[in-house]
Amino acid sequence: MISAKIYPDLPPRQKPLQKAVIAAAMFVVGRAFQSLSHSEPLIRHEVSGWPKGLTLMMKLQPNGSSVALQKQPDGTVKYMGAHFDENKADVVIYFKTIEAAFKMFTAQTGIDVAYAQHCMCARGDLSNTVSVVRALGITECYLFPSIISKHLVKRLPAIPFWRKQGLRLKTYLLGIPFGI
Amino acid sequence: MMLPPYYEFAFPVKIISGHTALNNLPVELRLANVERPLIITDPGVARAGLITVVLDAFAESGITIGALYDQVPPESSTLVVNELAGLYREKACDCLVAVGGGSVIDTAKGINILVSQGGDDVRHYRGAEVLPGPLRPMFVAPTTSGTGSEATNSAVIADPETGVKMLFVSENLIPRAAILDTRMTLTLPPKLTAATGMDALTHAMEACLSIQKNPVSDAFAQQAIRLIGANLRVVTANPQEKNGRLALANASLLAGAAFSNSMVGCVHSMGHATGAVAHVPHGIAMNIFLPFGLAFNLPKREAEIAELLLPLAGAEIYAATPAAQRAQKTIDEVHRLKQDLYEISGLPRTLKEAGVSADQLEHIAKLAINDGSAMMNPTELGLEDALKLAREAFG
Repeated sequence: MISAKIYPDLPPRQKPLQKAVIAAAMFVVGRAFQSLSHSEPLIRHEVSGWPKGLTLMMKLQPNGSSVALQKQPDGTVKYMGAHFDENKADVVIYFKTIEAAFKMFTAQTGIDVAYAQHCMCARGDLSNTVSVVRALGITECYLFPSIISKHLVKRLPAIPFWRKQGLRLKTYLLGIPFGI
Repeated sequence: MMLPPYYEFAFPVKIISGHTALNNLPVELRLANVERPLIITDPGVARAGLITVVLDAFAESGITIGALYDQVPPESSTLVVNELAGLYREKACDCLVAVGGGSVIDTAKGINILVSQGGDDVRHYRGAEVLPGPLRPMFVAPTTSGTGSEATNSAVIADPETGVKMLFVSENLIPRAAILDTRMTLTLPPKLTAATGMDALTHAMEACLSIQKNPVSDAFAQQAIRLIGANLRVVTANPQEKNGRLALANASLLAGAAFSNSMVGCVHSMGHATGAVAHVPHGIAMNIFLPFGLAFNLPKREAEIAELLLPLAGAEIYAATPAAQRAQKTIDEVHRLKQDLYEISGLPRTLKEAGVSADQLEHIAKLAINDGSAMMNPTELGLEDALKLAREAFG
C-alpha cells in the first residue's frame, strides 16, 4: 500500500525576480501614464472619453503586484499605487500567469496580442477597453524606442518627433521618479 | 498556416441537427439529469407558433415544464434577466431552454449566471473569463441562422439604467446543447434570411482574419463559409427549401463556434456603431460592410482572404483564379453575393439604401473605433480608417 507520508505537499515555487520586475514595471507604467496624462494630447483625448472617476486596475493573479489608475475631475489620470482595493476599482484586468505579466511588462508582447493569447481576464465594465488599450499603447511608445514599440502596437501613433523626445525626457526625469 | 504561438479553443456544445431534431429535447434533458425546464422565448416566436413545436416535443415525455415565458424584449435587459431568475427559483426549475434569436439566448445566459452563482443582479458578474463554473444545463433552439449565440461563450445584456451594453464572456456560458431544427427557421422571410446569413458569413470570415485566429476556428469557419456559399442564395429565393435551411442553421452554429474562439473585427465594429447611431439591423450592417472590411484588412491578411475563395465560391472559380488574384476575387465574390441577395430579397447594399444619412457617418466612425471588436482586428482601426470605411459603404 502506498503511504501518504512519503508523498509530502508541494507548495507552489516562488519566482521572486520576475515578481520584482513586474512590480517595478507596473510602477513605471503607472507613473508614466500619470505624467503623460497631463501633457500628451493623444492620451488626454483618450481619457476625455472615459467616465468620470473611472478607476482601472491591473493585477497579477492570485496575490501578485498591481497598479491602479484613476481619472481625475480635471481630465488627468492619477497613479493610485500598488495596493488599491480591487473591490473599489471599476475595471480590474487580471494577468492569469506570472509569465504572461512578465512578457507584457518587459515589452515582449503587446496588450492586444496578450489578450488574444488569453493572458488576461477582466472584471467590470469593459466598454472602455479599446480606449484604455490604445492609451496604454501610446504610453509604451514613450517608454520604449520605436524599434521595440512597433512590435507592441498594430500601428505606431503619429507623434511629432520633438514632442515625443521632449515628453519622453520629461517622463523619465520627472514623471516616473516624482509623478510630475 | 502558421500555428499561433498560443491558442485556446472551447466548444462543449452537443449539436443536434435534423428536420425534426427538437423531438429529442426531452431525452437531452434526461441525459443531463434535469427534469423541470424554464423555457424562454420572445413574442415573435410565440406568434409564429414555433413554441408549439417545442411543447409538442415534450408530449408523453414525463417532463413537466416549470414555466414558459414568452415576453423577452428585442434587446436583452438586466431587469428581465433578474426577474426571470426569480421566476426560475420560484418555480423550482433546474435547467433552461432558450427558443429564439440572439436576445433570447443572451437573456437565458444571463439567467443561468444568477441561478447558478447566486445573487439577484446579473451586473455583478460582468467581465471576461472571470465567471466560475459550471452553470446549470442550458439548451438552445435557435430560430434564426445568424447570431450563432447557441455556440458562443458570450452574452451582451443592456443595463436600462445606464444604457450601457454589458459584456459577459466565459466558456461556462456555452450552452450544453444546440438543437438545429428545420421547422424553427422555415418561416423566416427572404430579407431576414439573407441578412442573418450574411451575419453568419461575417462571423466566419472575420474569425479567419482576427489576431486570435487558430487552426480549429479556421476549420469551423471554412465549413460555415462553404455552407453559406452553397445555400444562402437558394434559401433566400426559396424559403421553404428544407435542406438549405438546415445547412444555414449549421453554418450559423459553426461560425458562432469559430468567432467565439477567435473573435471578430472591424466589420463588427462598424456594424455595431451603425446600429447604435442609425438603428440599422445588425445583419444588414454586416452585409453592407463585409467586403469593405475585407479590403481594409487586405494588406495584412492577403493570404488568409485568398483562402476564403475556395469555400465561398467553389472549386471551379478557385482553380480558374490565379493565386495572386484570389484575395481580390474573394472580395469580388462577396460583392456579387450582396448584389444577388439585393435582387432576390431587396437586402440593402449600401448605408444609403439602409436609410443612413451622410451626416451620421462621422458619428458612426467615432463609435466604431471604440468598439471592442476593433481590438482583435489585424489592422489598427483609426478614426480616418473608420470614416473611410463608412464613406465607402455609404454608396
